[in-house]
Amino acid sequence: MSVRIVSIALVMFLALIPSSLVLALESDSETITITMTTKTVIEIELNPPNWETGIMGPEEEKNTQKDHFTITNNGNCEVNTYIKGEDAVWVDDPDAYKWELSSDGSNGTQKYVLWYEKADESSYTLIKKDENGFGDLFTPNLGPGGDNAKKFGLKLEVPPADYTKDGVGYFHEGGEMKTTITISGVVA
Amino acid sequence: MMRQHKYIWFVVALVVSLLPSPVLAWSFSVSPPEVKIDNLSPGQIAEFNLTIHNKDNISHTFVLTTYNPKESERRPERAEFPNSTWVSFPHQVEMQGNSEAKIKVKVAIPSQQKWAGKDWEIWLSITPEDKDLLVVNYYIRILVSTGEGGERVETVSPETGSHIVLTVGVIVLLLLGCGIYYFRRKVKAK
Repeated sequence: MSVRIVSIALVMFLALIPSSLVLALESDSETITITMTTKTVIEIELNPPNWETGIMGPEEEKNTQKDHFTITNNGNCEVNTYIKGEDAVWVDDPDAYKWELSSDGSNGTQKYVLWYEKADESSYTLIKKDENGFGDLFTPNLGPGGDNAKKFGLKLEVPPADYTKDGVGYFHEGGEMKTTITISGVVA
Repeated sequence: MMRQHKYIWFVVALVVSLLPSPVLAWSFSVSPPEVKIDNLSPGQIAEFNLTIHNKDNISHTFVLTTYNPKESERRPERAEFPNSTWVSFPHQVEMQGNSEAKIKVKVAIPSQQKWAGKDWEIWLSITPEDKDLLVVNYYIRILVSTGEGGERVETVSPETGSHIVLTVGVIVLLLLGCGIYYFRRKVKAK
């Protein structure tokens, strides 16, 4: 009987060795703490995502209503948003023909201009390129929910004609041009 | 040589004006927007998951890159992350419409004492590959604080840990066998 008890005790003791070794290993290495609230979500909606300018001639300027676009924070944390533009490219062959985005507000040969205007402001702000960054501050501390949504409009001025013939201005490439305005969001 | 279309004297600028119907807004979300890793000693690896939710009805591809924010954009007391290659993740994720994907991100600090006791910040950018005129791009803040340690610290990866447990288990079984054999022999001897 005593042999059995000793055997069982020995078995239990030996069985505990691996787990205690693992515990020892864990306590030897430092504890890494990763803190992240998985219930926190970042989500920004831009509506509408496009603007149909229609056909535009050389040096023509068009703008939307200043409440045409809405930026809404559909997440549950405050975000800072930033805005930047890029060169416009010919849809058929982006490498063949493009318009550079103006950095000073003036258009020129194959150089176009983009501005935005917030609904609660009365002046246009230039949208600039920022190839290695995320652009200029657009809506600081944008709170969640539709009540905090911001409205804005866009203005576009296209370049002068690439050449003129019989008094009519022409671009080298006719057709559709495309560009992108990136609005970046980061938790405030 | 650029072609010259005399019959078109203006262009349609910016936009998908040929689309038959207005393009509807869609959005995607990412969680969490900020991750804080503390006490990650040189030589160690930390892993976490980001969840991307494509809320559109159609599939989209998302592009992931790192970005080193300027000092004014970082959290207070955070320095620039020394090397973005220490953060590894899939650089492109294809997602079906109305689906969620978990993205595994690893942060590995080289095992050199000089990287101990630092507070860094790096951002992970997530943006859709196909773009409308207006496109959203999210930046996820990754805050990394390294613990003291350095080359003396040994990383116990899950694989290494399981090998040790296996080896110890085999030794235990052998000892157990020997013990049972010894006691049975003792009983028989009585």
